[in-house]
Amino acid sequence: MNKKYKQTFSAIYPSDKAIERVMEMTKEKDKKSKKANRISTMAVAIACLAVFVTGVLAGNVPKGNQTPALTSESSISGKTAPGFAIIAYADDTKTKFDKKNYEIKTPLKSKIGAVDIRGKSNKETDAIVKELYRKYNLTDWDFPCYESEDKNVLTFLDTNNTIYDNAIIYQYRNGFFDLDLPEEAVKTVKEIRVKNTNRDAYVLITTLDAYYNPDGTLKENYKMYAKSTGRTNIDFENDEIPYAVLSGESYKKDRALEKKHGKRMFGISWVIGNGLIEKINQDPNYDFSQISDKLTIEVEFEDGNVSQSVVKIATDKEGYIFAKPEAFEYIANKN
Amino acid sequence: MLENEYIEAVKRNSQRLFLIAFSYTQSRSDAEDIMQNTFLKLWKHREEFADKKHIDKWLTRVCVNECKDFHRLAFRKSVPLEEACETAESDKHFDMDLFNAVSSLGKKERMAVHLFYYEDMSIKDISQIMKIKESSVKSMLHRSREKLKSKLGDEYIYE
Repeated sequence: MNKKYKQTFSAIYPSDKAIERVMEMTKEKDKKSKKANRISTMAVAIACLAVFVTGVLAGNVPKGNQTPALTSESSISGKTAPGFAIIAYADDTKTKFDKKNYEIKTPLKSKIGAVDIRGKSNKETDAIVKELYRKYNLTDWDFPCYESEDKNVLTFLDTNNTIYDNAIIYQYRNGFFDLDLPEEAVKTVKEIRVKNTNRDAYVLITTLDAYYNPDGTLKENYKMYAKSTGRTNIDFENDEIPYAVLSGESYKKDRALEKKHGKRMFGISWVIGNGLIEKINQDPNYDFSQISDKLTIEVEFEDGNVSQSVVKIATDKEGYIFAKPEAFEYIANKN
Repeated sequence: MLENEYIEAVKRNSQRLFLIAFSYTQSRSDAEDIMQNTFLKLWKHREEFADKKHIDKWLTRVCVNECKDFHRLAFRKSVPLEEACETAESDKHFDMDLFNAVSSLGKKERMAVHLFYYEDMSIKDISQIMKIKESSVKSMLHRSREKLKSKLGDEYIYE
């Protein structure tokens, strides 16, 4: 890869004219920097994901935010298999998880948003962007995932230079669900499988740095599959992400679960896909309450037992995302 | 820094900086703008450098920062990629499949991949220069490899 990469990109040069201009700079001491902020016709850009679901205390929910109806009943049928629950963590390490009912009905702080820019001038559009950066106290690289759940992170959504000319589409804050496995069971996780039903969203599995080799590859012997029905910006055949694992160092070090389980923790992220982003661009006033999904999470343990949990995700009209585990079930012992 | 030393620095780094910027912008003209801004800053700070290594390292950092500022301040129309690589296609070593696969990555992923595979930078150095955590760099590289693998096949990535 190294050699081919270098050979391929070494074949791309800047123009002679550009080099000449650079050389001539020594003769133009007072030449002002050519501003890099030429505004071309409006387009919303950014690579990267992501709508991630972040837990938050109910008291932190913005005014006017209504919990959407999530009517599914929780249930527990597993008796012998190690059970697990899904916890949407609050950013202050507290959670609204009801262990008695295995239920969370937590308004999440993660928010998807769109600003209609049809008819706006470039100058007006830039002002909107700057205002969003200011409003959300954007970090340097607005890197959306995995590293700064405790910060205000704003992500402009797009897919690899696709131009969205009707709307600025963004995501505020990120986060994920934790899989809360019993202390002993967490040590025997063999495989995690996640799938979702919304074709406009997809899922990713997160884990801690301890699962990574120094070169960024995943250590062997851990199998984590996110089988997504969602369309992604990755052209996998059959819309399947065969192997999606992200670093989970963003888990807070002082979180109860990490104290409990040491370095063995797993999380699930839910990601808005291109299909939805395209729909929002077509209709910047898109009704976000149309968005919903159902995640089925299976954990297989070394003894062959499999536990399953289902969580429903919904979004209100304002774009705030909510989640609620629907069912928790012991499935089978394959042995 | 004398003028001839500056010229040497330009010769030594122009393509390198252009490619870093290109990995992010995927636009020849934008990458050239960023490269020019980077060298302009070098000329303005020419009194501050001790040696070539220092200059080259400084240029890389400034170039990455320029990319960041460039992105932050402007929304841009993308240009057809064919335009970006039309001169490269005649090069026998140019691999269009690889180029297209890398182009399909997100811009930050492309930059991390470029710094890792072209500049041979360590994850730690990439982390420092992009101002993101090492774990994030690992994540980006891991995801990028998975994406590239899905497009190009295992052999391509691991050979």
